[in-house]
Amino acid sequence: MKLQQIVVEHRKHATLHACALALAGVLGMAATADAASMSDRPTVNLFSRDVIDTIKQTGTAAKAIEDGIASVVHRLEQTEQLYKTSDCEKGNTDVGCEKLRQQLGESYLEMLDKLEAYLPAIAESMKNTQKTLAVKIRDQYGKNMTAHDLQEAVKTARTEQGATSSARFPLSQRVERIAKLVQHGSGGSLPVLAAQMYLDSAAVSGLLNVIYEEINRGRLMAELNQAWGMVTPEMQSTVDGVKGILFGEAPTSSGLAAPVDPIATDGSAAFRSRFEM
Amino acid sequence: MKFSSNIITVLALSASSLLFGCATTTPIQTAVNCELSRTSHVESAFSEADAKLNVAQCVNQFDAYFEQLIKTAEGDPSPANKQHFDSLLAHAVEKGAISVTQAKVRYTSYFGRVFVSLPDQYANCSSTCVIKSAVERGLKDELRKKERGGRVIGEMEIFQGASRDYDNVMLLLEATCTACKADAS
Repeated sequence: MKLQQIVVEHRKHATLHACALALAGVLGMAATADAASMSDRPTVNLFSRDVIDTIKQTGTAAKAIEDGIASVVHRLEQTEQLYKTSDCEKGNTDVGCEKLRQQLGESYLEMLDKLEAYLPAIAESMKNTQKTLAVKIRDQYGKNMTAHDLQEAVKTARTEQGATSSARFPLSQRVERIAKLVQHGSGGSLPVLAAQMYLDSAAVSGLLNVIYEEINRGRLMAELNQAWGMVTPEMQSTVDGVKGILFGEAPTSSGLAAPVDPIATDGSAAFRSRFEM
Repeated sequence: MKFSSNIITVLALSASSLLFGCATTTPIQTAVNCELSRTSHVESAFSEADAKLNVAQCVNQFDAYFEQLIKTAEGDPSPANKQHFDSLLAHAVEKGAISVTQAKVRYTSYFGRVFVSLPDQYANCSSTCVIKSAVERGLKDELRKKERGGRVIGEMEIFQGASRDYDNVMLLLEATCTACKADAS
């Protein structure tokens, strides 16, 4: 059941706000260490104070959404469960079923309201992250390096499953993963982290526009639809859209890189050729 | 009498020089078989390739020899195969089949972690990003070679490292080129 999945995903996420603060602190130290280990060429501090501040802002915004939405989604799920076990799906016009339908519709609208209230903060922080990192990445890797240099820059990076730009992780989980990678010390590569953050923020900004449209559409459908409670395809599509932005989709691999276990702290994994059919 | 003996001498000398000239201006060419035999025995295959490279007419077959030896060695993986290929490349350089640089590129593309196909032009925004698709294709091709190289020596650590680098380089390149494009627009 998709609504159950939303609730389960909520419960899985660690305290994002704490992670964002930890990330900010560690990134400050890691950025200094990373700058010290670079070659003689002048380097840009990728995770400077302004970038760390925007990352903190993103973590706070994502946490607020998760906290704000969790209880509504939980209620939505419980009501739907009751709706089904009471056989209300089969068009039962019992007073109890009518009440449940109304509750479902109200919960759904409440979820949309909360999303509309919280998403602008995410949009703003994503835009800031994107803008700040773009300048740094362009100056460092676009204008001051060759492609050959890029391989030198990423050599220390641990393997990340679905490390390509097409991968979409849950927003809070990605911040958590980045914090974990940085905290584990020298295994993480700051250029790779910066690249991931930059591409993710661009992808999320694009998704947000889609979500806003879905919110408007979902609200209209729910208000027009007098038969509250049936999770219509339109409502489900909005819930799926929310899941997309908050919880991400399954990461897609490059199709060529050797698949390995994610965040393998010792870097080891069973080998399987990517060319095996 | 004296006059006729002089003529005979001149005629004899002319005839002999003609014959001698003919003998030196048209060398007889012998047919050379430059193909390697299809042996599965690695040592024999490399010895044969070395022998062929000693023949001037066969030097330009080096690429075909290399490919065939890779196939042969894949059938008999061993760390020692690295040494065989190293020696082969050294011999090929000595015989003028390839240059030192070409030998380094060839060896590293199969047995090294570094991607030799990555361009070395300065400033990715104006160089690598313009040909990003071609760069990606080149990297994929080279990664396939490194996998074969791993099979040849019977260990995949270098290939695994190169795989990680491939993913991360492509990620960083994607971010860099996107950032470059944002600046341009």
